Amino acid sequence: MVISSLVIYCHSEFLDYVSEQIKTLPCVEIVGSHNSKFAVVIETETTEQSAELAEEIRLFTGVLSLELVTHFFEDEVQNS
Amino acid sequence: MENFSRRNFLKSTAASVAISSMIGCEQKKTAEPLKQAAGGSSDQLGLEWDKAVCRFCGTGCGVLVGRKDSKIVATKGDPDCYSNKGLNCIKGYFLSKILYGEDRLTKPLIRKNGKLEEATWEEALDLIASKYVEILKNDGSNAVAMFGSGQWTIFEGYAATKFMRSLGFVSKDGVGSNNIEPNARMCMASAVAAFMRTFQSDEPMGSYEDIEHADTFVLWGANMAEMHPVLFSRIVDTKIKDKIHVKLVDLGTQFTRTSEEADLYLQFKPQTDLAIANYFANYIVQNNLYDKDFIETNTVFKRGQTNIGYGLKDGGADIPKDAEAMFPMTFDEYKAFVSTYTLEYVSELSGVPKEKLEEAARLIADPKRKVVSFWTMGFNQHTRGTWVNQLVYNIHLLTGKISKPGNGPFSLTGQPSACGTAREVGTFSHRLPADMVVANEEHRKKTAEIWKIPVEKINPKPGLHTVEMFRAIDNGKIKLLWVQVTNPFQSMPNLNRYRKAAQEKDVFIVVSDVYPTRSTEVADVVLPSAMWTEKEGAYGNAERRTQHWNKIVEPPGEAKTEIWQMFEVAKRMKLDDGKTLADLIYNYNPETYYKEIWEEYRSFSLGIGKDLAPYDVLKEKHGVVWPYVHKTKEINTKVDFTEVWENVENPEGKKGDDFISVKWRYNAKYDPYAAKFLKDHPEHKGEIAFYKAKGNDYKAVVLAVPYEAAAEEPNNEFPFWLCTGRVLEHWHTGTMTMRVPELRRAVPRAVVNLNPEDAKTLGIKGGDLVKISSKRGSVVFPADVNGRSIPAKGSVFIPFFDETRMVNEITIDAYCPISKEPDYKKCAVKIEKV
Ligand code: SF4
Repeated sequence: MVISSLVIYCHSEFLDYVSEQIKTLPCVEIVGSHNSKFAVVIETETTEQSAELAEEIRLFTGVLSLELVTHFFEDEVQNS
Repeated sequence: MENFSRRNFLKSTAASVAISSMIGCEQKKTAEPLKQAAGGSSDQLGLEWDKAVCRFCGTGCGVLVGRKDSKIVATKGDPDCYSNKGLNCIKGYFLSKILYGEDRLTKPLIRKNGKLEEATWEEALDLIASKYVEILKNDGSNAVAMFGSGQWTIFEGYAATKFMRSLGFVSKDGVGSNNIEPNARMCMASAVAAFMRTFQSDEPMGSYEDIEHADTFVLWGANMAEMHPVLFSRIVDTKIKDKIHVKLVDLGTQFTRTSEEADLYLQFKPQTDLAIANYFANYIVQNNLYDKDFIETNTVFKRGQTNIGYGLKDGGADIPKDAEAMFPMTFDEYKAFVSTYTLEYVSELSGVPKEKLEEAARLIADPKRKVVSFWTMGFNQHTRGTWVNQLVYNIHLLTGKISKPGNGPFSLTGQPSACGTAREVGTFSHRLPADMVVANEEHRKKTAEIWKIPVEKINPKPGLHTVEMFRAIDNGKIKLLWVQVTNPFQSMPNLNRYRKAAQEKDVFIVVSDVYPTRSTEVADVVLPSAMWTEKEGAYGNAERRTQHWNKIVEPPGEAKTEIWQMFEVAKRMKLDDGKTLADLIYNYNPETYYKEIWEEYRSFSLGIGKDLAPYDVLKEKHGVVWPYVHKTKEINTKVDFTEVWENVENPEGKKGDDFISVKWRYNAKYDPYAAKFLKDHPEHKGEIAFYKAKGNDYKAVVLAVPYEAAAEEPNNEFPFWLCTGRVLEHWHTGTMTMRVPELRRAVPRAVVNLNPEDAKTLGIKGGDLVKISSKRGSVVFPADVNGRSIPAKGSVFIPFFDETRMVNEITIDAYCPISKEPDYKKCAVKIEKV
């Protein structure tokens, strides 16, 4: 179980579109929005899957940029 | 805690911290306790949190690190670090994984019969010390060298410079060695030289907070979206808030992810940035958009020496002696000089359409706009790197858009402590701490006094800069090289020459590193090092913020810190009186040496506008910007600021504090030194004072220098420009990021990025193997035709992270004759389908 959260910066005209797109992704939950930004939480088995989802979001039309806030990965470390 | 509720708790913590970062409520003036800052989760989750700094780029983001048992299991952007306000970029996902690569070096290795074999520390250290003594006694201090980096912690860089410059106690010539360089010579030496020539003080005057105050961002060859992502997000956030008015102007030689977000993209032919900057100055002057009062009070006009060569001959034999000279000129002469950089001429030369040039000039010159210019390697790795840095200062000086919130020229750095360790500690071959230089007698005296050694021991002659240091290995003059925290045998330009020299010449090479690299491959001794949070450290980032961290986890196996390695070698260097070199230079208490080193180093900085924070403050705070000025002479050692103290703002502290952290240097509203200067010089008008520029009557230099061609340009045989750089996933030579399986899988090998039209003409498709050749050799890469970055027609781009295909085998080792920084961005190549 890897849990991370991110802030996503969007073009204001694309907010609805981006939010719709995010909702189609498994394991990603929008937990807040403010001033053309979304806060999301991603829960996956591995960090790699989280990073891939983050990259997928970054490539959505209307996403300007995206940054990581928290990253919990204790199961990954304990299993390694 | 049950798994389910633990998971829910982690999720709710992750969510609440992200929301708080998003809405910006993390921008508190005082640091929260760590547990609280980490999301209040320390007790409930059984994690222990501590603060650290990201190990990758020069943005220097603060990171909170969560440890469980003996391992790092969580990270989080530090909300109390002003540099990143709770955010990390996507590389943050992999930050702690760099510690856990399978092939970490855990034991010293010594080359025996041509092979590296495991050895004890005792053996390795004895051997290194005996080699030092032998070579110093036989050949003198010029025969040894040290090559470190902007990834050295400040403590390590300081211990290293002290070590090298004190070798006179052992060497036959009785003076120390100045052959010490950081790899920062290859990354921001041009910014250093330009700051010193213009303001007589290194490093940017502003703060990342300029991003929130500015409305016009001018990026010169800087792909911030991928290379400085957290800062780019701050720009994006500013744009989101006022998307009509805020403008992003991107000038570059290839279309990048940054260009995608720009309001105006100017693609220029390599090297013509010199002409474009002069055109902007011309526009400002011709249209009377300069700030007359500001330039009268704060600037002096000079003409630089021209035709200054390219450092292609060993020893810089093709560089005129007076390459660095600057000669006085009047404003009218300057005006006449820039008048030749007309819109027509510059458009023709640069390939940028006239309307785009004019639109950019209009934005930059508009007196109502607040302008920040950012750049990194595109300017610095340039055979006229010092000039082009200065040409951008010209624009800010002419318009008076400098040292004010939202206004300023801002050179970014690529490495986490390029500023803290390379520049502030002064680990360049000509430098001493706090901007001092070995060639200056007063500076040597001050250094000797602090180090408590005779001044005669400090060598007054600057040592060899990086390119000449490696050439001296090839020429048989350097017999011992100690490489720490960097990988020059992958990153040097014209690499074939220097790899061959390392393998064939009589040179003893020691490499301290964390993983096997192309440099450990040519070493005689390899020392396994502790990295990042496996040791106590401090870095200094591009906004002059010093950030300290504690040791959080144990290093693996027998890995040790570089400081310990240097202490141990110095202990083994016996002097005639029975003492050791360590007794003289590292006479610190084993329990408290980090604090002692810091306070000793800090004493260089006090009272001169370079003031660093005390150790205890650094330990407590989440990064402190220098100058960190104390009100009274008793503490800052030189100046009493009491009479101006109340007038100076303290944005990262409270009114009434005894210390002020200066966010905008030279501005009397924020900088006690400037306020005091204005009080003492009532004839000096306005709020800005370049108080460090004593040699120019406290004025900054506006420099007239022309466009001059690159050292090597495309021709019939080699018709393409080659530019090198980084990719998002990998950092520098990939030593750390290639150990992260996810990053290795994402981008396993370097490719050559081609312009689609060029590819079509040459019949090359994506994935085809192509041979890229220059005068210096050939390397084969798969082609990428529609990659993330699209080079201009006639240009190719290749990253340098891949140790299996090293682009530096074909780059040129020409350098800026003033900063001595090599140009990795321009040489001529041909392309053949294999
Ligand atoms: S922007 Fe640079 S310093 Fe900040 S998290 Fe990313 S790589 Fe690290």
